[in-house]
Amino acid sequence: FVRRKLDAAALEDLEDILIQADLGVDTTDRIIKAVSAGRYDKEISADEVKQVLAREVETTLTPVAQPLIIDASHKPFVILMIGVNGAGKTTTIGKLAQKFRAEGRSVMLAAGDTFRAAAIEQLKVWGERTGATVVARPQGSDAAGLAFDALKEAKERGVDVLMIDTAGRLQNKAGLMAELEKIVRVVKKFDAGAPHAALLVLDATTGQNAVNQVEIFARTAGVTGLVMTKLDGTARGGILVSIAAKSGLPVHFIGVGESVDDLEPFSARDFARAIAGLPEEH
Amino acid sequence: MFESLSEKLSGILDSLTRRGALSEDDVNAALREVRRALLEADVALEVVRSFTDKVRSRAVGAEVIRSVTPGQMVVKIVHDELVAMLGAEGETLDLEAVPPVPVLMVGLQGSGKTTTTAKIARRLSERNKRKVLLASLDTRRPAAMEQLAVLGEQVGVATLPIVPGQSAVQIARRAMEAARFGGYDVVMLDTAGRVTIDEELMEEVAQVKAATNPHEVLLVADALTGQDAVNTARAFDSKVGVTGIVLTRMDGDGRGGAALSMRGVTGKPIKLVGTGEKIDALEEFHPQRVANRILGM
Ligand SMILES: Nc1nc2c(ncn2[C@@H]2O[C@H](COP(=O)(O)OP(=O)(O)OP(=O)(O)O)[C@@H](O)[C@H]2O)c(=O)[nH]1
Ligand SMILES: Nc1nc2c(ncn2[C@@H]2O[C@H](COP(=O)(O)OP(=O)(O)OP(=O)(O)O)[C@@H](O)[C@H]2O)c(=O)[nH]1
Ligand SMILES: [K+]
Ligand SMILES: [Mg+2]
Ligand SMILES: [Mg+2]
Repeated sequence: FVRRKLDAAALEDLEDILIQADLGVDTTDRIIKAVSAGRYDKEISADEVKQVLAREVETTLTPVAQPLIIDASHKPFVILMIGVNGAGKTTTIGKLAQKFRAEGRSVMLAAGDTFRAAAIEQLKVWGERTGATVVARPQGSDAAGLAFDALKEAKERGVDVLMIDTAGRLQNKAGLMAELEKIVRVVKKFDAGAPHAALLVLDATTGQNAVNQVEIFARTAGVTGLVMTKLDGTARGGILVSIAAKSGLPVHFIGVGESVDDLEPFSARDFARAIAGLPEEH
Repeated sequence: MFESLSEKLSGILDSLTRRGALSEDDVNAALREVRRALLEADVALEVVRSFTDKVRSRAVGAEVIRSVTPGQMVVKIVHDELVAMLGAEGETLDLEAVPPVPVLMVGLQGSGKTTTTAKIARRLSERNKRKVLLASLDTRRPAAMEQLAVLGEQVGVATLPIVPGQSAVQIARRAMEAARFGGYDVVMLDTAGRVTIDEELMEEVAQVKAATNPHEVLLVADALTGQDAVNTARAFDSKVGVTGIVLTRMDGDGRGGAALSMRGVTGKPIKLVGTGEKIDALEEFHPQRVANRILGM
């Protein structure tokens, strides 16, 4: 291995890696400081330095790498899916439905996106694919009303998991966020403990705006955990490192494709290694 | 943010006015702040670099040194260069070709292709009185074709009948035939979303292009995109030769650095911007406004 001094130029190369992975300036600075601490001007191989970088990123992510636990004492266990437009909410519901069905649970899906064209049909296809029941009303119906109906039906039928899809909304749209608040309120009216999970779906291609998304969705809908999608592309999703440091919210899953099985548990180590540009471990 | 960049630059540079000359360190300190501001606005690193190089050569020039407020002068230079790099006002869709004119829509998953397809169709049919045919070549996403059909109905534009089992290329050919036969002016070809490292799907869209010879190939991209904007823009441009970019979700509170990134690496104009989910939320691109936004003004 070629060894090289960890000097200013070498640190700048590392900085580039993190910036280009969307960690943002502040988080990048913090991690670069940690990497150089005690190593500045020492000889180190290119591979070693990436290992150190990956370890630093991993340290930030480890506390948030937590599985989604379905508490079976809630019947139904209610999951609310939220996020900005096109992030991957409906697809992630389909993937989760598959996983829960494979675990032997009964699953119901509520077609709470009553706004977007063919959003209901899209969820129905996922229902068919995974053997989950779908509760839907015509396009344009009140989303909160639909959620309430679905809760009632899920309870009556003794369903294990109810996932409520919602329309995509940008967090700076007060009217749409108020609508989401109303959905949460109605769900709580039915069961004060619900939703038992409110999952915010983040798109890995998103840059610094994802930090705002987390902040405002958390305030509006009490986000309990995160899912990051589209990590099968060229985006590294590094904004998650800043979000982890800031919010401490659990990250449950990552999306790595459009198929029903393209959902993986979030691994701090794998994610960190990918950011540092290290190959996957087996 | 702009104020704070502006304040920072003033703080760094304005105290030097009396000295009458800027040292290299002064300029470097100022450019570091410019760099940070752009990175925080999601401008891709390589574009930031080429941008700060341009600013550097002007910042060491006489206009700054002689200025009473060098900080403000540098801010102005940054702003002007941003506008210049973002491209000219009023670049719009070019449909001057023998009808039916094919328009191919490409992009990553969920970027807003289908919605934008319908928005453009509405504009062309209502404003420009063109007879438009919509066709979905998305054989993958559940209910993608239904989505376009519903939107077509909403905007009063015809959609190609759905024939299950056909490939994207087959549908594209059928769309062109139907358009010739039906006397359509424009055919909007909506495609499935794809990640750029999916070689099979990138090849598919190249084949669609070869089969239809589109007059416009529009890359539809999310304004909230981060550093990946350059990879996406380059990959689509090199595979299908993008003619223009549509930036969606400009109604968000993102800073829109992707505009500069994509324009910077492809040189292709941003032709339209999406400003909402609603079908009329489509606007012209104004470089001045986007420059202000990147700088947080
Ligand atoms: N490559 C890739 N594509 C994904 C992933 N997750 C979702 N998608 C795709 O992203 C697009 C949008 O996904 P949806 O599930 O419709 O997103 P959404 O958040 O429900 O969108 P709206 O309801 O319109 O706000 C679709 O084409 C999906 O197939 C992923 O992990 N990787
Ligand atoms: N706020 C906002 N939402 C938009 C805009 N353009 C599209 N959307 C929304 O973004 C989501 C995805 O839009 P689509 O048109 O389905 O995206 P697509 O690129 O066709 O997605 P795939 O076909 O799955 O790759 C939908 O919820 C749209 O309503 C925009 O300019 N602003
Ligand atoms: K997106
Ligand atoms: Mg959806
Ligand atoms: Mg589409």
